[in-house]
Amino acid sequence: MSNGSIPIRLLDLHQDAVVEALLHQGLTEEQIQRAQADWEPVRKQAIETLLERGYPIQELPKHWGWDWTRKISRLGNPLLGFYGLECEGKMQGLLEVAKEGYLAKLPVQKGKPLIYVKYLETAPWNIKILEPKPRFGGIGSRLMRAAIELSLSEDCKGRVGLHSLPGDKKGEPEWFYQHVCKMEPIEAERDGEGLLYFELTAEKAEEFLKGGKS
Amino acid sequence: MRTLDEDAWIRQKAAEEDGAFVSAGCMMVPAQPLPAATSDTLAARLSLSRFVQLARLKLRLTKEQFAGKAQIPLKELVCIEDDDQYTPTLRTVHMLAQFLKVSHVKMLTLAGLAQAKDAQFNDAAVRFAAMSEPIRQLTREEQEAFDEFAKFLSNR
Repeated sequence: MSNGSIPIRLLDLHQDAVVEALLHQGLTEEQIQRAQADWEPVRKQAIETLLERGYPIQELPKHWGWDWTRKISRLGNPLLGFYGLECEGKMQGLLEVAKEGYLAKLPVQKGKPLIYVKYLETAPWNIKILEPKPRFGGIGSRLMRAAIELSLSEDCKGRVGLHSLPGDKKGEPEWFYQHVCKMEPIEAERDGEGLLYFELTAEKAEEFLKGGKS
Repeated sequence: MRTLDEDAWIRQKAAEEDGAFVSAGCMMVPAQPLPAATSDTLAARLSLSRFVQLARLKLRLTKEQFAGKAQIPLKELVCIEDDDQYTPTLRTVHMLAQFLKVSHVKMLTLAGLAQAKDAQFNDAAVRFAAMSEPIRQLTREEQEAFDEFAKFLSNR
């Protein structure tokens, strides 16, 4: 992967129209700071609103403390990759991946190298629980596609692994990775926080990229 | 299976994803310095750090015992008490509020996970941070400062 930006397509949900966007491959300090500054107040306001509405605190999204600016010191590390989806001048999603050091766990591909998603997040205004009328659609899928395409270019055949934030109901992270991305959960690989590990096989990665119903 | 063109692909994925919350990573925030926290945020976090530490001393519990009773990771308790720039996870703040019988929303604000509604909150946090030096045993003044702040946090 080389640094740079490529034009991609995103779905503008307000206009129901597919629009031009940019996929940044490699991020600058300024881009991360701007994204954090745009996202953080919206996240915080959303949590207050949900709490005031009586939403059970234990069921709130668990990413409130995330601060992407803490990753700035890792920019330029050749073993990591940073991606951002930009549309209408704002970052709509961010992704950090590790290109080395992670091996597949599923029996069908055990021991083979994969791309590990360290962090993936969409802008708070694209998440239905926080914003009843999300702005752009398919951001999580488009970021996953970037991870798969990196996996292919790094000769990992589309294999991707990650630890999902909790929640397996429709619209929650584990549901997304299992049912939209078709990744397989591996109970035995939960991390120290109890987060469930998911892995994408080469075959499922190909299906994901093609789209359509299998 | 045919390959969808770019527009059809994103339409299909957007429909399937349906505005889902999709975050992956870990809930714990890496312990690196915050570059641009405001003075209010820093004072609030310092107050959280001191409040938790004094609460533990008041209960005469070791960190391990406190973490066990509050059902939070020991690692997080250590970070909260020893690093006033540390942002705890939402679950931990919830468990702490429950264990210490104080307002969840106010604890979230102290942790920097929600915004203070009024200047009174920030003033109270700053006052508490200023009065509560971290020591091994509670003095009567600390006890009073602690009780006053705990009472303030308990008013929902």
